[in-house]
Amino acid sequence: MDIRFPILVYQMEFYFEDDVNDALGEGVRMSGEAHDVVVIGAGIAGVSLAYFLARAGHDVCVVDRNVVGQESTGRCAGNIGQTHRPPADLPLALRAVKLWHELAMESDVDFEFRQHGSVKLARSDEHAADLEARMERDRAGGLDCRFLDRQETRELLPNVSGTYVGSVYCPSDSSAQPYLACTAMARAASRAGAVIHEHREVTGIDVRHGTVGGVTTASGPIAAPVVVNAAGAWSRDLARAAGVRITTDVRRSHLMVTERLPEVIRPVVATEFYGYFRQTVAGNVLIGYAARPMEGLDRRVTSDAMRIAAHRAVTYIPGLRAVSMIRAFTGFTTWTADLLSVVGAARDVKGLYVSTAFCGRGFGIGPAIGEALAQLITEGRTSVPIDAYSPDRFGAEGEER
Amino acid sequence: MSSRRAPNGVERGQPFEIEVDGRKITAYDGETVAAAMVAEGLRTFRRTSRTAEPRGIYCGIGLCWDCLVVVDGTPNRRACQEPARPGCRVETQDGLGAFRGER
Repeated sequence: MDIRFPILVYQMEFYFEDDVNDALGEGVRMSGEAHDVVVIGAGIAGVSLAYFLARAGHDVCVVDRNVVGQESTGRCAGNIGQTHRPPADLPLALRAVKLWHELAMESDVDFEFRQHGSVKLARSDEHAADLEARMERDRAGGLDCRFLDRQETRELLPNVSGTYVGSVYCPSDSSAQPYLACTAMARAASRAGAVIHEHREVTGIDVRHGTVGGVTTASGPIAAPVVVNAAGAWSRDLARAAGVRITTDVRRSHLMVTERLPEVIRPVVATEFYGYFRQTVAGNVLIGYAARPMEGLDRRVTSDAMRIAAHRAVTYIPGLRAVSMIRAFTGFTTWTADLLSVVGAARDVKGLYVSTAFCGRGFGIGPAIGEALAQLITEGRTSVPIDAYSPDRFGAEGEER
Repeated sequence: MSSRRAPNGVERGQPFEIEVDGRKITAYDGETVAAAMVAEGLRTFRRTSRTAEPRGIYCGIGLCWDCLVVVDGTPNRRACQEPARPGCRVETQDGLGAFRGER
């Protein structure tokens, strides 16, 4: 039988059905832990990758200093969008919606995956022309989306104020409850054989002679010929400490949450400057506000952001004027100057991979990134191209750029 | 004075009437809607959106959002945080309450 280590307690009964002495004699490494792949970070990027690697029969371990989905993933709005992205993102975004849908069908937990579409409002004729041009590009890439005039938009969004000239509607855009979705993905990974260590902080990536050997953690090293840095807002410093330069900046995104309401909006509604509204299955309206730079990693809610978000909310959905906001929080999003993610092999360290900087789209696109990177690690090529995301574009650490 | 209020040693403000589901009950200045309702023996403040189960006072300090009522037409008011005002009209809330979308 196929033995994989370490053996989890609940698996012991299966091992004892076979000749356990044979199994233990052959593979147990009493002196330390070892896996084929160690993934740093149990956000959606990390657990999706683990899921696809484990499903393909590889021995993968995910390590996180907190718990699954607790950082950026669990603090995002849960949008699974496909429209208005850099062209390199579209094939992955299309793929991601299919993968989310499949996971929702297979999962024993309703993580609130809903395909209620999205609407991007055009505030002026000029803005509309710009959105239409981008829409044509998305359509050419295989996405079903269309322009709605003012009247059609009004019919779709009866509670949204009429300060628009039209909108771009994408019926297949989706959303989910991100924390539940991430834990559902993590459970699927575990069931496929992945090991997930929570509350275990990676303190460094072990690199010797240009080759990765594993990671060091607060509770002992883990050996692995392949290490994936999927540490989100912390990935840049972790990569640099291992001699790999990636250039990213972390921004703070705000979400305000209203009391539960009957249906106010059905599709996700996007406005200019990264503003958006989404209503959860429970009925809370989420009011999202632009990602902004900050000093260090600071997750405090700012009064400026709240004021602007509130102003936008009542401008676009006047009925929100009379409802209560029940909480607000922030999450970190990691960005690059060219708005492209950083996914792929590090040029200068053999066996080290990076999966980060999704520029505010990480939750939605996560499963497709995980699938592609799993293919890259195991087969050296991907079915959906991710070349544009290569970490090579930042040059070597220490090199002038 | 209703029998559910402490009879001795409490200094209360002026009594007045509020209306709960069309019925007049007494409240005292400084009381919340929840206090006045509980004093009157009213325990069901709302019914849940999916299974219509009764809900009433739980935390009593504004955190749990379980004691929601409709006050003067505005849904989702926390009865434990809402000061009783002379003549205010309270309705027990059914589900999520209405959303009034003005355009």
